[in-house]
Amino acid sequence: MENQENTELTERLELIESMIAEGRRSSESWGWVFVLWGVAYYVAIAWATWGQGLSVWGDGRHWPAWPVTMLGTAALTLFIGMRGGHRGPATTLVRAVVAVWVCSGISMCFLFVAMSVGGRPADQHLFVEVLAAMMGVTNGASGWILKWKMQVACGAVWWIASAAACFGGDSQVAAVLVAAVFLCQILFGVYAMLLEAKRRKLGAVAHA
Amino acid sequence: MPEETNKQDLSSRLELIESMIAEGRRSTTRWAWTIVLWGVAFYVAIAWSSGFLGGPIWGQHILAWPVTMIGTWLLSWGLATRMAKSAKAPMTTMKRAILSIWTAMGISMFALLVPLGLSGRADQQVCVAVVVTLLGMANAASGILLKWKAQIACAVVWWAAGSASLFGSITQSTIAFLVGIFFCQIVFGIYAMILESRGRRQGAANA
Repeated sequence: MENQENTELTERLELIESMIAEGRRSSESWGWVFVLWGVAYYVAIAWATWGQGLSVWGDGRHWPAWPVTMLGTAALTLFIGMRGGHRGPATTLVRAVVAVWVCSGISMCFLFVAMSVGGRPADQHLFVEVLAAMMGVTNGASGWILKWKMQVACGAVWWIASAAACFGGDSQVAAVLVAAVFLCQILFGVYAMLLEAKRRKLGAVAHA
Repeated sequence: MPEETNKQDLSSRLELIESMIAEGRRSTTRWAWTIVLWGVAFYVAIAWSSGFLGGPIWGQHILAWPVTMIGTWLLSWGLATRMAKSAKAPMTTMKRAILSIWTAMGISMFALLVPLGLSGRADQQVCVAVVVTLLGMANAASGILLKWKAQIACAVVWWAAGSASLFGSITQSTIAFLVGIFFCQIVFGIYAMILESRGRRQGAANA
């Protein structure tokens, strides 16, 4: 009886481990999204502050920069993601990670749209604080769910950025955002893409 | 043959997922007291800091929010540790996912609100909007994972409260916050506690 229970427990653990591995593989295959959004943030900052000093959105002369870049990137992500197609049944872990990212996206939409329509002062500090806090939740939660230390580290960087954005001038806040985007979007995204490419190569060798 | 194994594997996976969802929901109802506790803590902090609702959510008694939040966190932590020690059920993937979401949300609030308060840049309406939006996010993610419509409804209420807080006056933002706490912490918490006690009673009857 006890033996049977032990076997069942071992099977469950194995299944859970395989789900974690599958979740991580699935996240790695979305590495390009991190890079794409990282580049989008840089484009938005560069466009908004063109011909001015470093800040998140300058003096408001180029106000369409952020909405246009963000909406364009969202549409592009959706288009490329849908073209990639569904690769198989989603495990609980994949569903958990997707739920976290989708809910974070909805939350940001609600908050940022309400902030701008509600006539709140366009405070760059507040924008970076909230954005970094949201990215901290998503990366931290996803990293813990997938037991992926690198992503938890990205969450920690975002949390530090969120706290740091409360202090200093406009250019310092922009520098904090640029640094966090570089580490947690560009570097992490490229790292995930490399892992994915390595895995594919190994898979091709195994099939050959 | 491999196709058959694949089918078996898929069905065992589905069974495991279903059992994990059910276990996750049962586990959430076991923790319903924390939802009510935090709802009451929010009310205490608001009443204390605003001189029993005579003013804005903070400003009159600067210690009200830090003392109430740290006190409630310590109390939850102490009670949760005792509960976890006596719990017999192992940590499932679903539980770990839910725990990860709420822990990350708590750290984010801490990383955002403490420096915001220290830097003196806190704006009540924006702070309320940010806090309730984060709560909405955590509730929505948990609700989707557990396929629990009541919790998804709580998320929608929080998001609506967050948006409402940014329009109108400080009093209206306070009302939006109070209403959100009532529905999503007190009512939802009590509902989950009732489900938990009903489940226990059924379990005892079946034993």
